Parts: sequence; structure tokens; C-alpha cells
Amino acid sequence: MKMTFGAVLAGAILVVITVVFMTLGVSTLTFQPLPSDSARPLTAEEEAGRQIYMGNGCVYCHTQYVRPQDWNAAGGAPALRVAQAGDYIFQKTMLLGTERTGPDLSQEGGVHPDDWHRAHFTNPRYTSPNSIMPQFSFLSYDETTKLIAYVQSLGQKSADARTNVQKTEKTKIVASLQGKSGANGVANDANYSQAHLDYLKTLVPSSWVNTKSAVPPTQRSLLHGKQIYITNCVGCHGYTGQGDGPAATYLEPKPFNFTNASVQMQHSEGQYYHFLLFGLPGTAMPAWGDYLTVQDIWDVINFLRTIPNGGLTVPDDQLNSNMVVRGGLAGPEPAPFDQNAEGFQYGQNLNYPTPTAGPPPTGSGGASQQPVVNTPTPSK
Amino acid sequence: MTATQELSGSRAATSTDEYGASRAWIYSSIIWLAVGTSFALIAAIEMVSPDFLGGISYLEFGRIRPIHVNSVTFFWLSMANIGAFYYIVPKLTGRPIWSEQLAKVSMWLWNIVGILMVLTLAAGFSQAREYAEMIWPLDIFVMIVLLLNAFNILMTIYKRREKKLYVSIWYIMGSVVWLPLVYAIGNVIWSPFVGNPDEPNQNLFSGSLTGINDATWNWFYGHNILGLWFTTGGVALVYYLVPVITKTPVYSHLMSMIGFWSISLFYSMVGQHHILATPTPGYLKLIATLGSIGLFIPVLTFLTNIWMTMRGNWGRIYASLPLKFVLVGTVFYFITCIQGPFQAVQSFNRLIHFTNWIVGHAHLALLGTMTTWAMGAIYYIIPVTLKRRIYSPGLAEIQFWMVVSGFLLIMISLQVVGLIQGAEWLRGEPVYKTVQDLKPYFAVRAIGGSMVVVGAYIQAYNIYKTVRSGPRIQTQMEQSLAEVGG
Repeated sequence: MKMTFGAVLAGAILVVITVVFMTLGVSTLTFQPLPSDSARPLTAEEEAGRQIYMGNGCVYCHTQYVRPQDWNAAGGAPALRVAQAGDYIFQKTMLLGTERTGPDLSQEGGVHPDDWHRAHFTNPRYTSPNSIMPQFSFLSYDETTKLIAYVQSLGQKSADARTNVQKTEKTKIVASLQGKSGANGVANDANYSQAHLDYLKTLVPSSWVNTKSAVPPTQRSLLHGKQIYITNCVGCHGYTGQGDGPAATYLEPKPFNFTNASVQMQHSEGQYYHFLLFGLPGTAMPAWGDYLTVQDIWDVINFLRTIPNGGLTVPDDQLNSNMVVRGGLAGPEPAPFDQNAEGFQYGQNLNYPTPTAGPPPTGSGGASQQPVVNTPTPSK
Repeated sequence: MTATQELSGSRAATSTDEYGASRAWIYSSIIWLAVGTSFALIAAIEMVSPDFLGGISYLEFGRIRPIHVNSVTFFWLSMANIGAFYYIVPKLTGRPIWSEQLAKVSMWLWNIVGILMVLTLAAGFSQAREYAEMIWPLDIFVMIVLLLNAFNILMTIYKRREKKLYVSIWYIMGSVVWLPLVYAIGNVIWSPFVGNPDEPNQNLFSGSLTGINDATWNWFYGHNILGLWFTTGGVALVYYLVPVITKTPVYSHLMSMIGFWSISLFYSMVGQHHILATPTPGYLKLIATLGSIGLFIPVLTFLTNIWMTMRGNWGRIYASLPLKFVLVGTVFYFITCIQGPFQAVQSFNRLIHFTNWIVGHAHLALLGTMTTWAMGAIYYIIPVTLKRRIYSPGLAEIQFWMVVSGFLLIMISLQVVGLIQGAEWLRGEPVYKTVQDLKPYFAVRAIGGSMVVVGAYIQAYNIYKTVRSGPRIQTQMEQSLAEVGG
């Protein structure tokens, strides 16, 4: 073909316009989804927060759609919901995002209470020490309030349900404090009302209240627990364990103070486990089940028991199981086997089936094979 | 008057020659590269050390990032490309630019848009659409300048003396027409306001649609700004520079033609591959994936054409700095366009979507490929039109290695960490846990980025010194040498 001026110009325009009609035109004319069961319009305050979200480029690190394979993108299993076209029906300007440097926010509403968000926006490291999110301390109090309103709306009707739970639970917990520790801005005080400690017990099933730590508080366990505490918990509970981390200023009720042994005796390990695994709705305590393994959680609980006896202040090599608070619900550890014992280290007293020469057992006869007690001599 | 006197000329004569507009655009672009990469370095450091400059609203990461992206795309690459067009088009049409004055006015208008872009984004006014962050009033301003430019270039070509249209001219014609088209459509420029005034939507300055279809429009734009502007503009440069510097005709006219028509067809189809997992119509995703694979055709025809033109000329890259920039750019273009189609295939997209792999890929295209092409064009056009040799070829060499190795550090660190992120998410790790894996790679990225910044400042210094005190080209031989990129 001859590439004349007219041919190039008209051709270039026609080809692109044709494809535009084929893709954008046809899809917009034919694809008009209905509102999903969760969709709702934003309130004026939420919409104002959305403008702040747009203007500050939140969209560059946070997505707002969950793909079918993303079962843990939002960092909150109860908040999982794969995006539907009808979820976006009321929104002008899509903020779907293309980068997920931070968590997906499409179901963020109600996962945390408002005060957690205020601490987090002031400096994300206060609540999430590993975060690389910028500080939003430059936003005014009102702007932050609007932004929080928008973030709490993400997830729409499902988020509203979660946000309501946060609000009602907060009211109950703060009431149980009866003006003592953690209420009305009182921090650093381990003088909890009995009503509060009793109320916390009612939040977990009684079988959990009676559960003891499944992991013995060996030095290894305590050191690991300390490491987890330092990297995850200090933002709220503080380097002293008094509940006076930098985020505490923003939180109501205040983070729990671990320094009083008699208060700790009113919590069982199972109760702590429940709060770590599922979080404590109404407070800033998030669910750690997605981030920590079972052993991580038991180790950090073992470590918490040493805080009244100086677990956070002694050098690491002096941290030992004698510092663990005992008594009350802080019961002795169950049937220990001592990982530091010499016998364990050299494999004594453990039954290892020794592979036998000859043909492998056939059929169900395999089960009848007797394990052979193996007692190797410690090599020195 | 001897030939020597004529060539050395007076300063006044040099500044009023027919390529003044071309150089004006190029000078601006060089400053914008230094500005844009400096913002990038701040952003890169903030990703390693988030409390660096923390609490300063206008230097917050989410505001700096779009300033970086817009500076380097619209105001470095676009201005460098347009500057090169204002040199290439007169050369290939045998006549001066239709209106030199209009070209200079557009240059100033474009710079004003750039300054307004920085100010508005730093103040927190953004459309929050990637590559289209400039708010609606600026969009209108942008459209005016784009149309002025397109008109100027098209009029020059229409009133040409050389009847035959060379392949670079096709690409330039396409690019200057497609950019305003894509910009207006992708910014949904006719819909800045909300239809229902009772709705509590204060978003008065963002052209967009309501509902999920808006994402389709957004990414039609997001990809075609690359595909139908930066790529095609860059290809026009390469199609001009390589044959001119090597004094070899383009290998195949047929391949040029296949490349041109297939790029305009396939590139406009692929926007949806940025949002393959969204609840949008499936046929759009199919078209996008097929179009992305179809892009092998224009890419491979173009590269074959250029590399075959280089037959017997490869030794020239040691002697010609522009050629070195351009050909290294073609190698990165090859890698870009191998990665691209694979990324658009669902199975691979599952792994790398949302991760930093994509950021690495974007830098591969815009920094590794288009930026080196534009730098090659600048190091060709400035000496030839100014009749001065480059002030320091040694500095230019350092610039080359700084940009190329800095870019490689950026790309490799980001793509490695992208694979790590993708693998961990598929395994079910929450995002907050994978954030800590990013940090060492982001540190490498910041180091690579600082090398690119150094390269950008070296370029600005070297070109400035060339303009002020580069050795004058005095003999016919030196002029001929400059015209083959020596």
C-alpha cells in the first residue's frame, strides 16, 4: 500500500477509534451491573475522606479489590470477600489500585476501631512496627476523622456490621473499667477493677479460660516470645509492658498493663491465646492469627508472664523460666518435657523405629511391627 | 565568506536557526529529567525509611510518586520526543517547521502545565488515576497544548517538499494524533462533574465514570499513553537515528509497514491486561491478552528491521555515543516486549500482579528503553544543530553507564522482590508480613535510583556546558562527523 499523508492520518485514527468502540464503547453500553448485596452510597463525611485518600495517593500502595486467589490479602480472614462488579456501583473514579505494597483495603472497615486508625495515621509504626507507610500526622484532626470515616466505610454494608460490633464492644469494655486503669485516659496503672477482669473472662469460652500453655516456658521459648513482643507489641503495650507505647495516647481503653503479677494471675494462658488469635473487638487489639503461628503465640504468652518479674529489663541470658508468674489462673505448665535436658538433646528415651533389613511389611501387617527402642550412647 | 566562517557563525545566528524550537524543547526536557528523578529519589528513600521527611505534607510519598511519574513521562520523555520531532520532521520533509513561533509558545505553555502539575499534586489535588493524576482544569490545558503541537507538526508534514513519507514520519503523525485522542478518552474529559447535584460527591475535578467500567477507561489510557505515545514516539526516533548515523537504508519497507499498522491495532486493545482479575467483562480480558501477545508482531518486525539495518555497522557503537544509547535501548525494548505479553497471560499474571515486578517492568520500558533513546537523540541533535561538539564525551560516557547500571539495579531488585511477594501471597502470607521482605530490595532500588539521578544531572551539566562553551565545529569534516553521531 502507498503510505500517503491521508492514508497514514486517516488509518491511524480509524484503527484506534474502531478498537476504542469495540472495547470501551461496547463494554460500557452493555455492562451495567446491579448493586451488590453490600453496596451502599457514601455519606458526605466518607466522601470527604475519599477525597483525602485520593489526594494523598493512598491508591499507589493499597488495592481495593480482592482476587479469587487472595484469601489473605486484607489481613483479616473474617473480612474476606472477593470483589463483585456491583460493589462499585455508587463510586465515581475507581480506586482499585495496581500495587499492593500495603494490605488490600476493600474490606478494611470495622477490622480495627477508630482510635487504632488515629494512632496508625499519626505514625503507622505506632501500631504496626514493620509498616513502611508514610506518616499522616500533617492531616488536621478533622481531616483524619473524615479519612477514618472513609476507611471504616470500605466493605460497605459488611463493614457497617463490623463497625457496629466495635462500637458496642468498646462501650461495654470501657464501662467495665469503672473509671480505673485505661479509662478516661489513665495510663501506666495496673490497678484494674475486678469488674473489668471478670468481664474479660466472659469474652472467651470457659474451656479457653481453663486452658494452660501448651508450650513449656523454656529459655528458648521466652527469648522467642520476647523477640515477637519487641517486634509487634511495643507500639501499644510499650517497652516496659505498662501499656504506654506511643500509640497508647490515642487509644481508649488503654493497652493492657502486664506489670502487675496479681492482675496477670486473673488471666489464664488460654484467655491470652484467644485474645491474640481473634483480637479483642472494641479495643485496638487486632487479631494476630494471620501473622503468628501457634508456637509464636504460646511463646509470646510465656514471655508475657515474665514481665512482672523483669522479663523486659533483664539481659537476654538471664531470662529464665523461674521468672514466669504462677498462681491463680496462671497455672503451672502442663506435663513438661524439658527441651534443655541432656537426655532430649542426645535422643535418649525416645522411641525411633529402626529400619529393618529384609522386605518391607505387606498389607495391614505393617502395623504389627514392633518399634525398636534405640538407645545410642552419648558421644563425648 | 569562507566555509569555516559560515559554519562558526555568530551566536545570534545560531540561536535563530531553524532548529531553535527543537532545542528549546530539549533543554526543558533535560531540566525536567533532573527534577523528576530527584523526586523519585526522595520517594525511593521514603520507602526504605518511611519517617524520612515524615510529616511534611507536600513531600509525602503518595504525593511525590505522581509528581515523579508525571515529570519523567510528560515533561522529560514527551518534551524530549517532541523536541526530536521538531528536528526530524523538517529534516525528512525538506522544509522548516510550519510555525517556529507556535512551537516555542507550546513549549512555554507545556512548561507552565508542568509547574502547575507539581504544585497541584504537592498540594494534594489529584485524580488518583495512574498516569492521569493531573486534575481536570489541567487536563484542558494539556489538551490545548497537545492539539497546538499536533497541528504544527501535521501542517509541516502536509506542506512538505519531500513527497515520500519516511517511516519515522508515519510514527510521528500517529503519535501526535493518538496522544490527544487517548488523553481525552482516558481522562473521560467530558465528565468532570457528578450528574446528580444532590449526591454528596465533592469530586469536582476528576474526569471519570461511575461504576467499575471506569477502571476499563482508566487502563485504556494507562497503557496507551505508553503504547501509542512513548513507544511510537521512541520508535520514530530510532528509525531516524540508526539509518542516518550508519548511513544505511532501513532494511525492509514492508516490515516497517507491518510494524506500524500492527502496533496501532494491537496496542489499543491491551489496556484491560492491567486489571485482569477485576469483575469486568471477560471478553475485554480476552481481547487484552490476545492483543498483548499480538504485540510480538510490531516489536519483532521493528527490532529485526533495526538490527538488520545494523549489519556490518555494529562497530559504530564504539565511535558514536548516540548510536550506543539507541542500540542499548533496543535491547531493553526487546526485554520489555518479551516480559509484557507474558505478564498479560492469566497464569503468570496471577503471580506478578500487584507486586513490584510491575514497577520494575515500567522502569524497563520508560527508563531502560525510552529514556536511553531520548538521550541518544539529544546527544545527536544538540551537536548537529548547535554546530558545537559535546563539551565532554567522557562525562557523557559516565552518564551512559550511570543511567544503564542504575536502571539495571532498579529493575532487577524490583522484579526479584516482585516474585518474592507474589509467591508469598499465593502461599497465603498476609501482605503486612511480606512488607518486611521489601526493605533490602528497596534499599538497592534507592541506590540504583541515585545513580540515575547522577546521570540526569551530568546530562544537564554537560549539555549546559556544550551550549555555553562546547568546542565549535569549524570544518566541513567535523560537521560531517557530527552528522553521523561522531
